[in-house]
Amino acid sequence: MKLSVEIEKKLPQFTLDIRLTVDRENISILGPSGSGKSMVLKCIAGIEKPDRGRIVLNDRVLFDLEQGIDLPPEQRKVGYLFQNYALFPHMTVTDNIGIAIPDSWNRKKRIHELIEKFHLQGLEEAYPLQLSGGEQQRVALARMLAAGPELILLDEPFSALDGILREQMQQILPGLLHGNNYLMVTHDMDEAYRLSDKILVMERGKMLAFDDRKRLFEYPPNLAAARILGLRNVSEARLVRENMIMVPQWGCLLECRGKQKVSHVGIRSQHVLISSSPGVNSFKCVIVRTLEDRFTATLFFQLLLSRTKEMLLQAVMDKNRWESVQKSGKTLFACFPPDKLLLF
Amino acid sequence: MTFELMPFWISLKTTMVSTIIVFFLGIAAARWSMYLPPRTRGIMDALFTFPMILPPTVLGFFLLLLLGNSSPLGQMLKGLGLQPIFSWTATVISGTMVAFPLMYRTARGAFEQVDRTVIDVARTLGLSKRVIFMKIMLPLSMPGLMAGTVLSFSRTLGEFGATLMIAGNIPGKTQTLPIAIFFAVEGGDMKTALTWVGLIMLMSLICMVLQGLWSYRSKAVGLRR
Repeated sequence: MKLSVEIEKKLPQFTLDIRLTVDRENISILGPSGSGKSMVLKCIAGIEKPDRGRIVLNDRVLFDLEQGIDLPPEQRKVGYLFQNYALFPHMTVTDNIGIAIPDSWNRKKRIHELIEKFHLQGLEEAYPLQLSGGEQQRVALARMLAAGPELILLDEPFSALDGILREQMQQILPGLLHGNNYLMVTHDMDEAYRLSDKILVMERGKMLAFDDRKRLFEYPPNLAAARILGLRNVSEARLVRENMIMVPQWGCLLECRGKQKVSHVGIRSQHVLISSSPGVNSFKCVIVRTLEDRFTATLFFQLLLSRTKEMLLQAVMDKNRWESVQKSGKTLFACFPPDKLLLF
Repeated sequence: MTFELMPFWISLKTTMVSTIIVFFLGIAAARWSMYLPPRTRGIMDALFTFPMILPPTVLGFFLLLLLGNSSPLGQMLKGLGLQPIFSWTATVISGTMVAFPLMYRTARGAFEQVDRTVIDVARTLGLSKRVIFMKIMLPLSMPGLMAGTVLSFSRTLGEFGATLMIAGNIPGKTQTLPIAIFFAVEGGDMKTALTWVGLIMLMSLICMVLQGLWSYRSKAVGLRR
């Protein structure tokens, strides 16, 4: 699957401006709600029309303003999984899948194959409203594959599923779509990381970053993208000498690596170490608040030497470790490992 | 005796035929106008709804002008050997005219209520516009379409003004129930009037019950979200 997208579209709040090329990869589009993610999918599927640009799928031009090409959705061979699945409520599972199969000769056989593949046996005659969320999603996926798409678009595919079901579907989805590449929209970083090779980060219609998932999370190219990718501790900073920055809002000097120009510094809460022993880039701190999850604790702390007391930093650590650190009753230090500092 | 039942038969026939015509015409117009660009659609909406806001007598007056012998259209029809004015056809024409806006409006409403994403997904699945309309739009808007049909039926059944204007009061030919009631009362024949009133109420009641049953059934199948 090869896809190249280059579109512009004026929306009430902002202008959508997206350029990407995809070559046999699974892509996630990550961004806050209302950033125009779904609109990108709708433009590719042909449900919405861009104001300008060009969309090419496997050498087929789907849209080109200059050449006056705008294939209707029914000719694009692009499958679209809606957030609410949009099953045909008046049709049984069999009919929902069957109506999408273009070739009437093998229809019965193909329906049977898909029912089996998506584990829908026994539900053939059920109506969508009688199905659970997970079953509905499997029917929608089966129906989408029945039409033989060349590209699959998934719009927040797991948002309507809860807990265990969501995890199960995340595990089996790539297998169910086997061989078919997909473009997925989500606002969940973990989902994006789990299910794609590359991630596109966008905000207010603009692309902030587009890169391999691992590289993207390790070295976000800019501050805005980093924030969307879950960076919580951010401050202005300036270089005072080589490998040393001054962070006025945190009230400290930090050792760092590389970079000649620095305007901001950030560190992921998972990378901040809270312990009772000092080290490099370690400062005495006081915990203001904690937020406990089942296995981790998020600690909101202030550095004791900080002059601006309102500034709260975050650290996430394993709960057992936090409990033992807490029990020791010693002075706490927050450590910012130099190699984990993100400089912008 | 048969002669005395004539207004009932005429009304029934007129209402049935008009409702069937209006059913297809209203759905076709609603479907057609739905895909028009917004501005043209607004104009067509106004045009199609116009007969509903006009007083029936005024509507009848215009129809009389349009179809009468002195108009070009009337002349043309006459040349073809058709003279709709003051014939049974005229009762159907007036019935159709007054009920059309009701059917058109309810059908449009019903179509617009169909979940947009369901139609979008159908298109991405490669289904043609015709298949989408026949197999998805129509079944999903059936409760609304049935309501529109019942409304049209009742409206045609009660039609008086326009019918009187273009079909007149010819017993055994164009005298429908409402017209028969009016002339019976005018002639002081309360007994006949009451009989017709009872009959017309019974028919309306049956309509209501049928519609109620229909919506109950479609809810039971779970078609409505």
